[in-house]
Amino acid sequence: MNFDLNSINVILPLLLQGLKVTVIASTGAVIVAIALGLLIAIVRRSAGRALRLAIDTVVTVVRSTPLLVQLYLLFYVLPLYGPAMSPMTTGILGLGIHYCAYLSEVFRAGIDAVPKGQWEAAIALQFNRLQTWRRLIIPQVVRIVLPQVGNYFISIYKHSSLLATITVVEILGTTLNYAGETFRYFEAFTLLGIIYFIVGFSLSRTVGYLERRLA
Amino acid sequence: MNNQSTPAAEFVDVTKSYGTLEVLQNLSFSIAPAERVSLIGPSGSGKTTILRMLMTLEQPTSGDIRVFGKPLSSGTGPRLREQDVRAARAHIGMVFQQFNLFPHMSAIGNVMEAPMQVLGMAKDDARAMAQALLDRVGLGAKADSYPSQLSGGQQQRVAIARALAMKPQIMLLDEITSALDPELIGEVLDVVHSLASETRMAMLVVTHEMGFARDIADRVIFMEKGRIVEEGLPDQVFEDPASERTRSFLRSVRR
Repeated sequence: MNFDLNSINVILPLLLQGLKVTVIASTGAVIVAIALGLLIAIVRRSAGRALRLAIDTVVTVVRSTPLLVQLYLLFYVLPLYGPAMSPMTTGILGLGIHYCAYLSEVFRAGIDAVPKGQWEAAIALQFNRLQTWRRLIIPQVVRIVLPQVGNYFISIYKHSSLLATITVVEILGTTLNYAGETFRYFEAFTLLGIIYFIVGFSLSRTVGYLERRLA
Repeated sequence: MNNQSTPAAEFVDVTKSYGTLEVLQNLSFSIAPAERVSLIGPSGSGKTTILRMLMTLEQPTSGDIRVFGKPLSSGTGPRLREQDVRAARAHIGMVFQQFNLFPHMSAIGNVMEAPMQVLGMAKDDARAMAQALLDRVGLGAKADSYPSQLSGGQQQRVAIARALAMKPQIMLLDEITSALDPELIGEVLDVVHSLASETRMAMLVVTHEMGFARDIADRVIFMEKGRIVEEGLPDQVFEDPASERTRSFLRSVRR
């Protein structure tokens, strides 16, 4: 079977439609992951032994099991006992929860990297806890962790392809559907690979740029 | 000092220990409003611990600390309410050895932040006040520089302006020149001297600069091993110390 250039006219618009879903899912997931990861890192700092152990256990379980299994559990098993969510919501939550386990460690290290004197200056200037976190600590943590968070965002973007398995029609799902109907796997997947690369490469260059600017 | 009014700060039988190490032993002393006190003595004598406890960065193991008659911390009594501690602490400001400026904010941002966040001051008012304070420490032209673009002496002067912005009645100066290159010490001490002559803040100064300790103070306290060995007027302590310990310390630092 030869590469049919004409089919690109059909495939490209389809894939760009799918890419939109991929971008929405990845962005949603990274927001969930950052919010939960930061929450875990902050709560863990002031938590008692029991709560800290509970948090660490959950984080370890999430990190030690495959994302795909977690997605299946959320999508096929959870609705039997709890709320049924749309594939997209399930996917964003699943990706977000998986990566928050990694990001919480990144944030923990970032918070530890803020010098003790910053906390003391905050007390000396009468800041309360919330003001200290919001105005002084988190802005510094963001600068410290931005490159790593950027790299995890790239990872989330690539792993969002797994959402095709729970019926989210993102860019891989679109490709599978199209190729399944037309058997144009060669064209569809070549184009898919190129699009994944262009976006992924741009993202990693952006992260690299931010890294240099903040260094 | 024999002052009838309520002391600005008061330590009553304060002990601080880390495990078996006693850093301060049954310390009692007070500072009057507007009084300037220098704490001198060898490293490890507990001078900085006094400042840190007054700023609530450390808690006493036993004893009470009061600020303008209100409890700041109590090593023995019932646990104090958070809002009472905050109210007592609001009278106190501190300048640190390592400056501790906020690196993500410009000089003027550092000075404006606490008045805006903590006192709820409007941005324009805070900016005007911060600019006036930076002018006062001789850094009006550096308002938009970031800490990393300033010399150590300039950073410390910003830190002084930042502490002043909260209008403390007691200013704690914790070895504020110890992290500076020798040629930058003078500019910082000049700022403190002019503050001392222009304001009525009480000042509690820990320093290894003996000339500064003497010139700035109404009263000098010499400490060793967590105890006050001797205190008195600067001229008396420096010229004619009562204790042999003070004498030998002053000899060793003057060498």
